[in-house]
Amino acid sequence: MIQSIVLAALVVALTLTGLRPAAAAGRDMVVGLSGDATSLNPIIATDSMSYIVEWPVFDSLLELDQSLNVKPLLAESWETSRDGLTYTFKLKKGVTWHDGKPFTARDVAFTFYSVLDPKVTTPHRAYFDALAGFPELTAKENPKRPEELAVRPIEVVDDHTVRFRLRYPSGSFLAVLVNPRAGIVPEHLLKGADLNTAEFNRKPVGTGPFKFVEWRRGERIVMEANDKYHGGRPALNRLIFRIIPDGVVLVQELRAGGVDLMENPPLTEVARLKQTAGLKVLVADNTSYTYFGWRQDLVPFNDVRVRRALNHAIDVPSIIKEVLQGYAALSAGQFSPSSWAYDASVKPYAYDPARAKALLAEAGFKPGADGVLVKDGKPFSFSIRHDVANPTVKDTAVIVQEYLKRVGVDARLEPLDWPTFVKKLFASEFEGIVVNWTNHHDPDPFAYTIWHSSQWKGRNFAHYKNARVDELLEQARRTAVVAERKKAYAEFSKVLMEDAPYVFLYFPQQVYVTRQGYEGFVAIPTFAGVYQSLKAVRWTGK
Amino acid sequence: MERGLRSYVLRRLGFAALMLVGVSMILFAIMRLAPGGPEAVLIGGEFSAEAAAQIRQRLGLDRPLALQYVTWAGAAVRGDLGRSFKTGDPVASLIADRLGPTLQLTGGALLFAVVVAVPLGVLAAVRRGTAWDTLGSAVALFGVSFPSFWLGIMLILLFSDALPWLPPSGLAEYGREGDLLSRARHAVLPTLTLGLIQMAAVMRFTRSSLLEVLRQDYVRTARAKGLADARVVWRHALRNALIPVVTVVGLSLPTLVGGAVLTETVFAWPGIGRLAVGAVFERDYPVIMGVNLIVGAVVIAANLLTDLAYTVIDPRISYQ
Repeated sequence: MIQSIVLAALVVALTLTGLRPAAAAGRDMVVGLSGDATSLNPIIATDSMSYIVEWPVFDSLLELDQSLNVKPLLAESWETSRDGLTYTFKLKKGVTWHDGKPFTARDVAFTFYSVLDPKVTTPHRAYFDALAGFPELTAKENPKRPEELAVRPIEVVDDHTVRFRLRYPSGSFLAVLVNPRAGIVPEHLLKGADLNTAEFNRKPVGTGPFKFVEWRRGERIVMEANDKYHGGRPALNRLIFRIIPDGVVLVQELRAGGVDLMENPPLTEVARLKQTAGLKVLVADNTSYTYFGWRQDLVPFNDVRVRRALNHAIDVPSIIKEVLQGYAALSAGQFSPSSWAYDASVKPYAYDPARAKALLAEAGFKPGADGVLVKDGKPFSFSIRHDVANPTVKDTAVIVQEYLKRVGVDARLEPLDWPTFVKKLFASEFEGIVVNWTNHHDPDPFAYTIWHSSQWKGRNFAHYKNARVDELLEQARRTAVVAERKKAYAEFSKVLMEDAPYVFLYFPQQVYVTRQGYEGFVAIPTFAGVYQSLKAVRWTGK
Repeated sequence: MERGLRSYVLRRLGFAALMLVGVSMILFAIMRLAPGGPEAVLIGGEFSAEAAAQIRQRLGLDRPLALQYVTWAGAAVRGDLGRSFKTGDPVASLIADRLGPTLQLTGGALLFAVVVAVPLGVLAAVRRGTAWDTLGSAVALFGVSFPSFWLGIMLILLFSDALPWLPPSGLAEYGREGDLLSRARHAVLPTLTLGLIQMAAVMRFTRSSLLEVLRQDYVRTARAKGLADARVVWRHALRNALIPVVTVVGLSLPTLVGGAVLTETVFAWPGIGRLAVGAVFERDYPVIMGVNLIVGAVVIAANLLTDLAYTVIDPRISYQ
């Protein structure tokens, strides 16, 4: 209390000095985040803030380049067997953990066996479906231990060689071995620990370019350069992640010099920030997309004419222009334009309200007394649920509602907070939804789980079912030949667009604002991809 | 402490304990009745029903509600408020870390409100009907009319952007937490935001209460005795006029904590308010319970202290 009084007295007595707050030192970088991390253990962490913060601390076996291809990181090289069922990685020598202990192949095996361990809570497990013994190791009842299997899925050949065995050839296997979902953790610190609750999750030790220093919950996370980093010492001395929940305040901090890098400023501010001396704006494509969807098995959405009509009813480019200020790519399905699986010949439905009305009339709808279409005495009226905290999604939902009204469809908006919204999604308790959903840089993990009919209890909560789509997804999943995968995904995209299960709206771009003088950012077109390049960012002062 | 007062305090403390139990039961039930759960936040965009079920089991949320409450309450009585669902930190240490900044902010705001509002209220009462009175009323109206999140952002835009004098947010620059000047500069805007809102009520009450007292006979007698006007107002009238003001200040503590929730969020102030807001959005039940228990205890204690303060201000008041 005494301290409070002294401080309060100082506050009252303080004359406004006219000084600017001390700008962050050039060789540190202060990164502004809108929320705090949950865990700094890459096996456990799955939320976006944790991904961003644990990325500089941990290395994965491989990392992505700007074309979303994999390249070596902790692995020096790898070989794939002819049948595509064995991957042998040679690991870099001389790599050490931040506590000085050597990094070996045992750490790699420990990491992925932990991911497979049913006692460990992690949604990353599903990415390793192709590993030999996956069903036995991950069984809910009496899971087997690796040593009980006839064939070891992960074998430590020697200190610097590790071998993975698959049960089917997988085109996505290498793609899932990258940060931030597949950082390698140290066996010597975690063996025998409960990974769900280990103190390590709050004080991590990795092999990455930055060493963890402190985490003051809700305030900041600090890390310093790893002098012994195997890829060379990073140019920045320290990374300081400051947690500032209010977007407007975060922008002010950037302008005032308290923050050097922020992501996703309010989009209406971007033009002003571009004009601000000393700041620069970076834009990167993303794999996540926003869509307007509905329960496929509910009347009248089970009629393809109705679904196509809804697609024709909405002018998506105008939403991109008005809500996203142009910072988004028009969506033509599951894959972003920067993905190798994207097929440019598949086009989204053109905005054509007359065609939409004609299709709805064909489906049996007639105008009702209040302007809302009616069929069999029932008005075309339904609710659209969405996350209340995402302003872009909220604004998009409002415009979607307006476009639907113009063709005689009555949509009621039902904003929900995120925990409630997600629970309702996975219980399939909705009619319509407007959602922005995470995606993976490899097509398989999300295309399969969103569209395959075996996934109705999972991410296919909209209950989509098409036998040909199931077949194509299986084909694409069980081959490592890129050309074959590409062919299967191209047909998948065509069938999906004809089926019109959603109005695929847009892929929002990631907008970053940083201070002039920081150079070396590489905008990898996947979620938070720019953070991979922090190890190469340097202060030039220009 | 006299015997009557002691038994009064003990009785009040007994009620306070019962009240806390009641509050915790209601809160526990409300939280669980609210839709959604912590698993959606813990998993994020890679949500799957299987992972959600696993998390609920690990956090003990699959057990009967009554059993969950009894387990929590049993541990709380022993001083263990559990661990945060989100980060796994002990709730008690999360609250302890945040208590200092919140006390600094609310204490500073209260001090600011009282130091500025009481003289303003006195001035408005003594110079009733003049420009001073109008000015005081305008300031009060200004304070009560603006929500703290709006006022906070406006102050940031004015004093950090248009006039780049003060830092927009945070407790202090990294590495300068021990520097009093840095902390004071960071505290100016949030303290002002919270204090301005509080100031309005204190000022209005001081004015009306003092006006009433100034009309009383003993004040006229004091003036008739030839005492200086300032002495009559500040020494004789104000002391009696302060009783309702103390009540307002005491009762404003919950408002202050409530206001601090928004102010702390706007100014990225690492206090209890922000902890609570984050916990509610993330359904971090142990943190919500812990924070409310502590805030509840503080509010009850503040009310008790307010009642006891009356006896100091006015010796005629006593508790049996």
